[in-house]
Amino acid sequence: MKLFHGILAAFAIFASPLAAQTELVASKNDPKYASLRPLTNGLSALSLMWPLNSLAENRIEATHAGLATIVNGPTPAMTAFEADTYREINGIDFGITLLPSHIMLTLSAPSDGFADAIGHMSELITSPDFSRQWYARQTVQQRPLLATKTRRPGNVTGVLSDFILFPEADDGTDTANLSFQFGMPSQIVVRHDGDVQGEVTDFLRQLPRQNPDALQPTAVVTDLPKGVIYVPDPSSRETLMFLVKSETFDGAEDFVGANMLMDYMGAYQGSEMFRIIRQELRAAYNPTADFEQLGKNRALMSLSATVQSSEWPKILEEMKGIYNRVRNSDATDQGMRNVKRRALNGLEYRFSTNARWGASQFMDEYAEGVTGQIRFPVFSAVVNANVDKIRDDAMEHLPPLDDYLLILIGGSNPPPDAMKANGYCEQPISKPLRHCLTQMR
Amino acid sequence: MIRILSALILIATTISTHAQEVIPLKDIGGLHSAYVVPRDKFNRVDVQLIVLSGAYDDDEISGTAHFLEHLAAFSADTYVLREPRARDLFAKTSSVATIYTNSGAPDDIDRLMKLSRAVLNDPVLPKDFLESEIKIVERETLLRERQYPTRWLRRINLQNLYGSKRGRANNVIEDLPRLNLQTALEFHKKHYAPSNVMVLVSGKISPEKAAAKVKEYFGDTEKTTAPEKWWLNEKPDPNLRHLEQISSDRLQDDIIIYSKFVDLDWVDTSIDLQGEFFIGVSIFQSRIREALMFNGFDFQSIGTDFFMAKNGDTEMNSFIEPMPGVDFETALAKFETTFKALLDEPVTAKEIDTARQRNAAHAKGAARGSQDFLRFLENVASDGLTPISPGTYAKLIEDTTDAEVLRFIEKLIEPSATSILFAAKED
Repeated sequence: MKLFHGILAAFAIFASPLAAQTELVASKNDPKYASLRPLTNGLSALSLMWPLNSLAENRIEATHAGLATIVNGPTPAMTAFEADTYREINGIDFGITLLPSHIMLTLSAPSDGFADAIGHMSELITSPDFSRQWYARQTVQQRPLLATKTRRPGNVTGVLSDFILFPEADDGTDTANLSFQFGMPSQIVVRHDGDVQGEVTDFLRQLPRQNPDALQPTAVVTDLPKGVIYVPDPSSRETLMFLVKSETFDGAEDFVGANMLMDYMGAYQGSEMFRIIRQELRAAYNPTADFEQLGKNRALMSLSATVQSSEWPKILEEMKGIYNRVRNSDATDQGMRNVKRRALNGLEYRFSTNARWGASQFMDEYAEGVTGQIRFPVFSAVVNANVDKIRDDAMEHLPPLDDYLLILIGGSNPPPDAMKANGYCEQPISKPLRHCLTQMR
Repeated sequence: MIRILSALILIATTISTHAQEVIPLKDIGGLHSAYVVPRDKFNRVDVQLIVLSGAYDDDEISGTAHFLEHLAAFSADTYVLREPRARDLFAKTSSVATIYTNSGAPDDIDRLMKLSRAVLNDPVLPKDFLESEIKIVERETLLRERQYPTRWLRRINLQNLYGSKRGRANNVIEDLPRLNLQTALEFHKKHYAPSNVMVLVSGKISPEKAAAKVKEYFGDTEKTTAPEKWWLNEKPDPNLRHLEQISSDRLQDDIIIYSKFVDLDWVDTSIDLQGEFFIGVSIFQSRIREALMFNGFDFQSIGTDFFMAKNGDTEMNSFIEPMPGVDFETALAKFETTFKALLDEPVTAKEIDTARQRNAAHAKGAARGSQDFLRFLENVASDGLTPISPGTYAKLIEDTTDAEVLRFIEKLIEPSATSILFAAKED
């Protein structure tokens, strides 16, 4: 894989007083600065990472809403609407990403206007105007999705990821009355073919650092429970089956091996899930296996399908059969080669065009920063993957099915008692899945 | 884990995109039309086969065009490929077209053309597979309904707007039990006729080679009679104002669906309206956002999409989420008051220029990504009109006069047929 060059830079800091009720999100130390290969789509990007003050979900949502409020706000020279229009016509985009212990803001803009875009971002973040009405709206928008209602597998994955990374739901803080200020980031990642060091330095000079005595949260590693969660809905004829396991892997090779085996099972139209569940059994439109990275060598592995409610027990057995066959090294040569080819193409494309994804990968590997050369062991593991060995060693990469959690949403066909031995919880669709997850923890 | 801040559209300032020339091809047999759009940005070639009929053309059973899309896509693969694990199928049914996209490396062009050509053959697969695909369409339809509630809310509202369950409105859920193979095959015979099909070749390919390949694979097709677009003549009562309220436990939040039909009666074809449509819509969206999202805080979100048919008929659908505590009547009153007063303050030349820049930025953004580029091409092409590339789009925007833009916006906000749906969440 490509190697990237990282540099450490120190910046002068000036603290500023904060208004009451204002929460400062900032690093206590100088930021670490890394430069990754420029994007290939004509855009440049800069990602700023701030350490989270709390890992309780209510505080995370508030912090997200606070940052969204600031970057949608006014600058000294422009109203919020004028700033919005300025970004539209100049192709400037902001994206906010929550990482295991950081919140990340990614600025992207056409390369020829990147320096100006940094100046714009600087004015937004250093502007003291925090709109409480905009924050109230953002707070509503950042509420956890009710995956029990939307039943999109991606929403379920999002809810479960939040539960794993931020297991505490509410730390008692009245977030409605908070304001936010974002100060010194702990890390900066740049994707640009040119020098913007001056613009970045000017920006950082205006930012306060966190109080040295401020407490920093410690991440709690949580896993999903085993057993069954059932969310009945007699008004629907469909049931979403979601088999899921959170897993920590021994290293990059183990991680990539599991990823490729899950892809073989259900990532594409050539997968076993598609071939058997959809094309042979005609049971589901979207049978899927997913592998969602949650940090360094951690992932959420899932198999899912939405089927006619009366059929879910039968199709579940088929899904388990697919998983166990692959786990028992029963995967085709051609299928595994296709998986690797897709993984390589996908890796190159995402890294070359998706700044948020690239910065997230960097943070997974170097959460505390790095000096010298930057290496991504996961990328190397994909390039060097021996698909025959991965198939043969599948049992070492994939945990047994008994360790999985089964979530059933919709319909009125409850699981039999025999399935409840590992743990069981039933909840209404009006409650978030966290309700049962917390009870079963 | 990842939550997204939607912070607006794409790219750059001035109208100076690289012109992606859209070149019409000759020697295309009986096809409606064929074009090549050469570009070197990516090492790939895309072949889009656009059947100029879609969901609106379901005259008896809603969902038939969609069901047929499944059959034709799988059938084409069966004709050509023996290694289905190697690729994913990309086909979609929109309101007015059904689009099959085959993509690959430049030296893969023959395979891509064969796959595209095979869509026009009668679907040939085992009969039990063809019939059982109905189950998959049923699963997909119910799944989409559940995952995206605005689909069924829009459907209810459009049924009320047009007073019909066919054509511009549909009845896909009630019609699921009526889906059948015979109707789908009849749809294929009528609508997958060469004269109702456009072929677009884009990417790393020379115009000469594209022309030769289209001739090689489609040159033997014969002219046919294109099916009539009967739904173009179905227009709502211009004085209609329909309001309905429903509630559902599928919803997370209250939402208003606001649908409006605008008859742009001074044109016969939408090709003459593209510039003012895109600039006018941009100004409309911008003014609504400024008034209700930046200067007011009674709404969580307001999203509006517009559809302009090939005869210029324009349909607007707004999806309005009030903030908690703001009731439907108050939210609707604020939206409609703003809507009606949208031109109280005259549109300035600077505002029109900003809208032009916004559109140009959008075009440049689309040119950066391969999928966005394809979506851009198929937009106008779906109506059987000459495709607009990001480059030609920029010129189109430049050539539109301010007066044309103003006339479009004035017509847009005039009172006309309107249907409103209040959809309340249930716990």
